[in-house]
Amino acid sequence: MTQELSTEFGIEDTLSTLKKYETGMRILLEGVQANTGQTPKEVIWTKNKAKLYRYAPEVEKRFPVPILLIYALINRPYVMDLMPGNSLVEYLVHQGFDVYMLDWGTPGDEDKNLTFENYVLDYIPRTVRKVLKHSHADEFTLLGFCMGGTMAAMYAALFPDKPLRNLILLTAPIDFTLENLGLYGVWMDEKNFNPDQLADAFGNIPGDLIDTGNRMVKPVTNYVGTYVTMWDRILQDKSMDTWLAMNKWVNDGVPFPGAAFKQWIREFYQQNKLVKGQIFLRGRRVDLSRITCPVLNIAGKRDHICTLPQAQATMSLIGSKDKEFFVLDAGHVGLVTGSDAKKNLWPHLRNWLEPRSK
Amino acid sequence: MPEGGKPQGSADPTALWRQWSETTSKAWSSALEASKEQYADSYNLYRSWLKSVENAPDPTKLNPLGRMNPKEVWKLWFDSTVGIWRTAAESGGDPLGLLTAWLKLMEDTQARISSGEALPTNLFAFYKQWYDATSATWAKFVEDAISSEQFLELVRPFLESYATFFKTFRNAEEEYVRSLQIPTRSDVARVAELVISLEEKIDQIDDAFEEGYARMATRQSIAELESHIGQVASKLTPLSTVAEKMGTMEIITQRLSHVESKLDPLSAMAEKVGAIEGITQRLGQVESKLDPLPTILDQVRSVEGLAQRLEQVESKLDTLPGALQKAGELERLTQRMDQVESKLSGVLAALEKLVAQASAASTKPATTAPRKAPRKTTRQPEVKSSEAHVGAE
Repeated sequence: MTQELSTEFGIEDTLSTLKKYETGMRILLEGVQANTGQTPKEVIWTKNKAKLYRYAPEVEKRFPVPILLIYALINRPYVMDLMPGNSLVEYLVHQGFDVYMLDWGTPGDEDKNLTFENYVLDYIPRTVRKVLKHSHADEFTLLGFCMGGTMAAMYAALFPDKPLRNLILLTAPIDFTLENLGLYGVWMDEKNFNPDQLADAFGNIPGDLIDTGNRMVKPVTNYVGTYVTMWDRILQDKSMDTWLAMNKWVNDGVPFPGAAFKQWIREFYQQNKLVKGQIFLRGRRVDLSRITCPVLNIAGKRDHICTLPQAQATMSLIGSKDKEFFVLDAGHVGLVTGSDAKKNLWPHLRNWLEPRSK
Repeated sequence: MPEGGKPQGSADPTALWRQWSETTSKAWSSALEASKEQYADSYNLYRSWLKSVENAPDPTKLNPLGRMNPKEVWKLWFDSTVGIWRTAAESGGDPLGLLTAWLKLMEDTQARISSGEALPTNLFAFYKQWYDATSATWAKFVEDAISSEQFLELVRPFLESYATFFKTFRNAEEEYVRSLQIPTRSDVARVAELVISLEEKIDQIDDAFEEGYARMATRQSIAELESHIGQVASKLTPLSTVAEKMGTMEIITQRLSHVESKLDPLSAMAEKVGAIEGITQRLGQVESKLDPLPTILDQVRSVEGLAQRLEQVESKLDTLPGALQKAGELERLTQRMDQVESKLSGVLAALEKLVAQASAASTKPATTAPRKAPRKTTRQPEVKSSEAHVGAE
């Protein structure tokens, strides 16, 4: 190394920079390593691959009405318990709520025929019974995130009475009108996409395929911007914990059971049957107007997976008198995690739940 | 590096660079099937770079230190390329606005360098600035491209062919593995389905207990059941001896049947006895009714006697008309008798006084009084005697 270089750059600076580049390259080559879902929990019930977690209370339980969290069939639910200090579950537990989460697990080839009938009419009701029994309660709050919110809405429409006390929909797509779907509306159109072909070929739709489709909605941001952010944070010595945890979750997709995938694309995205009241689960019509419990409907302005109109349509369909539509300036995942979520969503959630959980 | 000479053993970097550029440019142009050099190097970046390297002044080649000077290298590169880009942007060769943003970035950097700032040691920072300036444009361009019909027409058959290929490959793989007598994925999935079904049944049993229409057997209930079973067992123990006596029982049964057959007429007899009893009761009733018969017969006899007497009276009364005929005569006689009576009454009165005095000393009834009415006794001797006779009876 020339003297000019040593005076221009400095050996120590160079070594430091090289070290940072090593960190970044290690992440790219070895994959993301992060500890997620760290809030203490125990498995209280299992069914097939699904597990029902109960989060250990760290403070005295203030609210007798437990909360059951349900996430989508794709990706992992620990996005709601991303890391210590950045976890919705942790926050609710510290507020004195009795929190449960249903993790659908990783479906295998034997699960390719599972449909929404199984999830909404078998898994969720049985989970509810276990939650009530374990918490010694006779009512509960159901919180559904993304596709989990769609399933939660269907469950609430089919079982509107007790023990369902409150319903929270977090970026839950209900209305799949073509104009409101963005790029999804173009790709999922009937003339462009045949879900039966993929389901027959793969059985369970691979998680990578689902992930690619979601990333292609914002390709530059997801494929380039993510790593620009990574290098920026590394080289500026910023904390990498959140980036690592989020990146781990994004790349931790699970297969989508083929039968449920066909239903999701055909009946929801292509035919928009839910808002028309044409969804039938084992002969039972899903009528969202039968929902009468208090409803908190949350959506993000910058959410490109569940756009604002997709979530807003719920307000005119449900029969609840106590209902609120809460909009945040956030994206699909940023709604639940991050500093904005801590300042806005979480307190609002607690304040809404508090009088309705006694 | 030797002065003015190119190394013989190791390749000249510039020559290597030129070779690499020509090779890749040809490769790109042939792959894209477009105007070769022009398409691959539309901005003439590589050509200008090569040209600048070739036309670099000798001091930069002869002076290793000069060659390695970052500032001079930067200046050289900047001067040789910015002009071309600016010309391209101004002539309309910048539909996305990327060149403009890039030029602005470069000029800002050059201004910083010219003002005395050191070159950024972190090349990434420079790259990030470029990304921040151009990402929105790139994103819009890419999103428009992937939402276009042309893109969809490319992707649709690709997806279909990929799915078809994958399915074919998987089926072939299954068949191949199966021919090797090795369990396949579908075999494992089938077993897993059975396990899931079994789990579902267990869940249903669990639900039955939770819902309350099935109850778990407790130790106490089991103990009670055991004691009941013991009691039943103890009661059933004599059955063994009973079984031994079954033969005797059969004989007894036969004899009983015989006795029963003999006893069958009893019922008829009993019925008859019942009837006899009824008849006896009726006879008793008849007897009770016949008890007054003697009395009645006596009364009948007396009635007959009375009838006879009545006949006698009638016969006697038959004479009454004759007697009545004589009544007129009797009236006269009566009148005469009245006269006699009146006379006698005085006599009687005196006699009564005498009798009264006499009766005070005796107790004879006054029944003798009628005897003292001689008229009546004489005129009505027949009647009075009959009346007295009747009264006596």
